[in-house]
Amino acid sequence: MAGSAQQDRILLALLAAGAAGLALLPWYAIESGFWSFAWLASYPDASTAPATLLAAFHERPWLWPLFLGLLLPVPALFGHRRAAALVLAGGIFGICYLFLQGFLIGLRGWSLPALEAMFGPVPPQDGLGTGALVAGTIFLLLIAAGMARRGAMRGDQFLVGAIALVVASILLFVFFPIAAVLVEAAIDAAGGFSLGALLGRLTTEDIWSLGCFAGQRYCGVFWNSLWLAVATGITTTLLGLAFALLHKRTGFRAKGLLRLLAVLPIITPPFVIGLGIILLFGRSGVGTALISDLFGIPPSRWIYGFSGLLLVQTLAFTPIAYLVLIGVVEGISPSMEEAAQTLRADRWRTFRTVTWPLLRPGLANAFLIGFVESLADFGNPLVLGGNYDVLSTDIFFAIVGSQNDPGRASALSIVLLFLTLSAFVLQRQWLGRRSYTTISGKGDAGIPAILPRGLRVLIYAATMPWLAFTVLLYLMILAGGFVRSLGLNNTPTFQHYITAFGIDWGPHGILWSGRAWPSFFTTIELAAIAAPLTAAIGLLTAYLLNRQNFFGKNSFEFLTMLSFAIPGTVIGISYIVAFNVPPIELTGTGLILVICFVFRNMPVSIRAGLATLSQIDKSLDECSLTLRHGSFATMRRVILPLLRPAIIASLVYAFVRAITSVSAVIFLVSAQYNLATAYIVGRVEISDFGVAIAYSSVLILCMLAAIGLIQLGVGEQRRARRTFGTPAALGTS
Amino acid sequence: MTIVNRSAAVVLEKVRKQYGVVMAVEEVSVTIEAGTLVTLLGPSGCGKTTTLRMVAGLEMPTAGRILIGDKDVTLLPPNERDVSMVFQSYALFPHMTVLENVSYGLADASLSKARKLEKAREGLRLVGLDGYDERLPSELSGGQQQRVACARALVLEPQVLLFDEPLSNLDAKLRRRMREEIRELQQKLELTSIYVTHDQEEALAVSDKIVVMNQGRIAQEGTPADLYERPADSFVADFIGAANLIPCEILRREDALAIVRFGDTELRVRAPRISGSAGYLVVRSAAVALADAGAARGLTATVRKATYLGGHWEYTLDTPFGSLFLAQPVGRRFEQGATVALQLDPQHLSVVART
Repeated sequence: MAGSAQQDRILLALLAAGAAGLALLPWYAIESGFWSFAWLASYPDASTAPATLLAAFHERPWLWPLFLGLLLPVPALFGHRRAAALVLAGGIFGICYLFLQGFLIGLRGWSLPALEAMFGPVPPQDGLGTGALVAGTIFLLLIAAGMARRGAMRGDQFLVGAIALVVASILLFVFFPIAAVLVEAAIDAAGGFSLGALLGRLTTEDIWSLGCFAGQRYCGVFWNSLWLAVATGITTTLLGLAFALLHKRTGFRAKGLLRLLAVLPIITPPFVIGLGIILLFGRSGVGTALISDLFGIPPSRWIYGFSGLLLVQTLAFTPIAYLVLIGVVEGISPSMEEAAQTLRADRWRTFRTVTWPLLRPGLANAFLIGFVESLADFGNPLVLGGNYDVLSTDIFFAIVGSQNDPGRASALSIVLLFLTLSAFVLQRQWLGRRSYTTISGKGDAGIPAILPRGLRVLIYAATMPWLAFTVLLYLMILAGGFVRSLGLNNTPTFQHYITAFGIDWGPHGILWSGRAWPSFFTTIELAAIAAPLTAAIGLLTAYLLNRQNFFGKNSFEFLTMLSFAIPGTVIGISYIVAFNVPPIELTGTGLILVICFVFRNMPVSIRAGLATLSQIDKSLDECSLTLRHGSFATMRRVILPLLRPAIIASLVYAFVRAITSVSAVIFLVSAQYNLATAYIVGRVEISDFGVAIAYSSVLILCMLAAIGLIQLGVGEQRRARRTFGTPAALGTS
Repeated sequence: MTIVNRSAAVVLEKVRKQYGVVMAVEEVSVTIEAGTLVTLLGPSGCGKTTTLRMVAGLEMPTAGRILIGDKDVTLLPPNERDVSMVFQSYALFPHMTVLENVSYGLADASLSKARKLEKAREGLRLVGLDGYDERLPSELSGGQQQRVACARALVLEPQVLLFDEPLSNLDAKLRRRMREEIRELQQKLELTSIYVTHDQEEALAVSDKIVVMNQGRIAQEGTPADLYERPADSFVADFIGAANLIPCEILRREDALAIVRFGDTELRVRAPRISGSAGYLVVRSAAVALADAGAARGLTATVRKATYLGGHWEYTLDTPFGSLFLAQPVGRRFEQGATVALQLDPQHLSVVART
């Protein structure tokens, strides 16, 4: 069937853009960056030429067939009978050929010796550049346009295009890197693939040894990680429950303090707690000195290892368990407990037979979250691990240290991924069907039962010291930046702040002389670029998942949520493995950091979007469609304005997480693009605690300010737009 | 009057909709004349809303064709069809004012902004809401929201106006009033309208033609009087006006009449389209008069229950051929347990097939 006028217009635009991508824009990646425009000076030489010129004059004739992808759909413009099939075929051919030639011809010519023998040598290829990006996107959109012409999504080109873009970007930036890791782990010393290499790496003694039970000092990293994760899961769940009960079921008054406690872990870079602990209980810590003076216990290195890690991770992740469990506690309808009481149960019996069983699935959930957080945690083990190796840090040292063994790092990543994905699947498949929500949404007049006295005492006894400890820790961190060396030399000083954030007046105006400035500006810049992208892709995905039905939607949803369970360290290593060589060569650029931020934080955007969308009546969209607005206009004028809360949440979260993340980005930073967290970790590694602490404090304060600003900026423009007197004479009906 | 009538006829040809293995609409073929209001009536799950949504373009038919004003729109997306719809939930955009809501659909670029506003105000005047321009939907009552939804659909001057259970969120009193207003407006502007409801009284009150649907198929279509007085089958007879269905035997036919027997009574009643020998006698309250047992001849029955409802009495009677449920005027009162004479008026009786 021939397309409508609008379909033909869009097709023409796509083909024109595709032609521009092939004939005008530089085909290969530009060393100095596309946006520097320095390449214009030498345009079009072999490194900056577009595909046409490369094919014609620079011995790369294999680029010619790419045009076939754009030529195939042309008859569709003239009302060809099989227009849809032609457009689809052009897109599929184009994108397949683009990747095929990219993978087959790399930095050293043919990537497979057999092909070289067959066709003779070819010149090398750099990573794909702007021209290739445009062409690839156009091919993808051609596929979408072809499918829309065949009636997919009621023929809505915008929707099919959006689905194609989102699916392709998730495949490219989440699953392709993971696949690359799997492949990397199977590459043997000679550079070929072998199953033996994979099995050898996966079964090494380092990972699985149970030597610590047989008198040796250490067990394998798998067991280390597992013990720590189980222990952290248990302690965070119990403490989180105590805090949740304290908040919801006791007369505790300082609830604002609890809310602050819940926000802190979001804005605190993950290793900062570890830093605070070192200040308190390190060899020269304030606390250590005090204990040594009072009780005569000599300073030791007990915090460097399992006990220190457990302490720190419990502090860091209890707030998350608290946030999860507060929802669970709220979800238990008071009428259930009141019913139990009217059935002659006393407080203990009510708690034991009603409250506790209703809490159980939520507790399991909180445990799994603590478990995964502990496994994925990188900053604290790096700072405090000592000789207690865990998977996430081992991966790091396998690739950055003297080992430089991507194969080993990949194998360790597989093990870590296996652990976190198991927890994730367990959570979805098993817990998914077991949560009891007894609040029905209708008004519930009941009053929550008062906890039995013994339990109340226990809760206070557990939570109050932790609360005090957390507050002390943060005070320590804030104060630590203002003394020469906390514990050793407590002379007040601004030296650390001057070193990090000094500003001088030079001959040409302001001189940002502080050593932290470059990484600080880079961090803010990249986070500011990544946050709107994250929110956009995440919310678009949520919209597609919630509002549209398409083939493969369930697996698509599962895959996007799965990306949540991939630890940052694994993402970091996978990006290095996947994007270090052509056809997609991104390492060392700012772009790879932005992409990493986007796809790492996108699941939270998706969740926020899904939660809000499920509150917006679907008939609003449908109504807009019948009112002469297409799906794109509907999204812009109806969905987006109503999604504002989710947009704010996503922006804040994406921005803040981009600033605080360590695990993934520490692999990806470069001299040109260094990030705040990576810089701080570097300071900690050489025991330059003063600057590290000063910098961390500044980051925390900056993020508080940013959250406030975003909320002000995007916030309530409309709500208070008009005020009305109470309409007394509303009663026309 | 700036709201122009551009009404067109709608034709559904063998339209079918299937979700996986579930058959939502099995086969619907119906023609809606320009300027008339046709109701799709049926119990929940009968496929009436799905049919409406296919006309709107919100669902794609699995098979069949939909024509609006002789143009095949089967594959067109909703925004390219010349229809507009009033939703059950009204679907007013909560972040827009009343005026913004009503002018939302006037997206035609050739219309100037002032012209759009003028048109939207005209629409509001038409539904009696002038002066409410700057209110937000949350500041309106249910009935007012309903009117805004109508105005928003009207100002587009659609070829077809669709109503999806528009009154189901209103209370009984308001419902009656709104349905009269909708009918008045429709007749005044001579709009082609398709109206979905599960309320048979509402359907009888507003329609030029009613299409009764059951399990994805059309059970019967016709004018309200057709359906009430000459139901095609027991489903329609029961669904519209809740008739008593008394099993009977069809002895023979004489032209449009049939001689039927139930118990030891023989009657001559209307039976326009019926074959076979097993049937149901359709007995509505209007066909029955009650009298004291001794005073008049007729079938004897016992009053099992008598309920006073102010305007009329409701009786449940035990008869030799089963129990009957009837409404009777208040003038005469029959006590519980009393024996009464039951007189049937063949003029108001009809017969449907029993399968």
